[in-house]
Amino acid sequence: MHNVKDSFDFFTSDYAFVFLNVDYKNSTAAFPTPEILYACSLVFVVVTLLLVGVTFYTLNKKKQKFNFNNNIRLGVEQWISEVISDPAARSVAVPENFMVLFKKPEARQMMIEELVRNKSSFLGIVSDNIIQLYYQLGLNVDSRIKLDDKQTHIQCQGIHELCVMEQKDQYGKIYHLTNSKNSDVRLEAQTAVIQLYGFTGLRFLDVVSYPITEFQQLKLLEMLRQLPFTGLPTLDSWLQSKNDTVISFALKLAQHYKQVQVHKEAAVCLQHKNEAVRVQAVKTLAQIANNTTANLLTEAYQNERFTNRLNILRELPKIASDAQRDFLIVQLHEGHEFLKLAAAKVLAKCTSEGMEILEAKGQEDPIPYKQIYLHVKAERER
Amino acid sequence: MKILIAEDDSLILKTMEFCLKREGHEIIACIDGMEAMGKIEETKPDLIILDIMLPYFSGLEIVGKIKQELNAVPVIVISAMGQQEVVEEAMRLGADEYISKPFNITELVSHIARLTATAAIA
Repeated sequence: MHNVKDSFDFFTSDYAFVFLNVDYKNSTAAFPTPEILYACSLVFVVVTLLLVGVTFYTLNKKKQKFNFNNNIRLGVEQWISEVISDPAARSVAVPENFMVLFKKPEARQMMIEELVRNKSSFLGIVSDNIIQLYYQLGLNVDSRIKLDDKQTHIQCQGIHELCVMEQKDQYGKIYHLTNSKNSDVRLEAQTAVIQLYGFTGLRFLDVVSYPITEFQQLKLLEMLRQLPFTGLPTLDSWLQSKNDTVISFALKLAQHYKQVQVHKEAAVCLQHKNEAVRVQAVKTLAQIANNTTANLLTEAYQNERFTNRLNILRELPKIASDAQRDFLIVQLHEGHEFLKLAAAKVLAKCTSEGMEILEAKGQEDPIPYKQIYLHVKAERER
Repeated sequence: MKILIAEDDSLILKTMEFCLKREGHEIIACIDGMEAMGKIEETKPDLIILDIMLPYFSGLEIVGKIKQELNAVPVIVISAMGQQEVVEEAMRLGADEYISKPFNITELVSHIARLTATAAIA
């Protein structure tokens, strides 16, 4: 009869090792005994049970926390909405059971989150009542304490709460964090000072020594776009900052708000060691141009690499005139095909007889000038 | 006046409910698109306020459906800031008015008054 022992004998027999292609006689590998296999299985079972137990415990804890928060939320929501929708609400009487509840940190945090979320949806009396309630429950203190937390995500949370709740008395602390060594905290603090103080909040550019990322610059510009313009009195000093990203951002501000008074400082940026600054300086100067700008750009062109050369030729159509004709004709003969095409476009758009020059060049030297001429012609006819 | 409000944030929903009740309106509050669809058929409200982003059926789907079936009922849509394209789509589908968050309750009340007056004339 074929029993378990036979099977075991087979696996330890010579046949098995031939079948498995293992030279067991010359092998130095130790094969596990049944006792070791049994012990390993036991360990595996214990570890699995432990993992299942820990997972169950964690999920249960999370569920309890969720239920606790949900119960508080359901209880408090009715009361909050009643209080904040009351146009005559000044000082609110907090029910006794809520007073006990609000001694628990989880409940206070949940309350802050509810108020912050609601504050973002309302203006006017409802919004004022939310701030009033936030003060009355002393939740502003909770948010303020978060600014000193060692965990950066808690600091960010505190900044966001104080900002949404318009806590202008915390400006000093938030302003200090605009130059935090942590990029998330910096981003949150810079956003907050703009939200609280508009263009005046840009004062952080005086002191910020860490880079302002392109994303952050775009975010700040978008925020400022929605605010009434109140002037940029220290723009010239930002254009001379030691922080290259501050210069880039200041140039973008000058470009968007057409700050012609900083033309001189922006022109100096054409010689900056950082290429990103020089590229932005070209774009800005094209927006705040005077009668010297086109020459400044053509002079800077000689010392530039491909990217900024192309950038200059793309910005020149806004400001070039016959005075740049010789420069553009030279560019038609030199460099990359893209630069030739860009120079041809400026020539056609900004100089008298530009198209005639291109046509003559196309007849004289058809490859590539005839294609360039036809391209520019087609674009002009569009 | 019977007003149906569909908003997925329960605190905002309750706040709007309290504010409009103070103005003397009867409020039917719905927390999602499916509940709103059911309540619209069941209660036949005089005016509907819809958040664009609702679970199950979006505000846009509801506007499209009710404007086909109950054309005369005025609809106000509430959108988050920066959802201009969605708002335009809602207006194309037949929404009568829109408000962007954050909004002032007095603005909502004046929209309701204006739409009610227009509906009464019609």
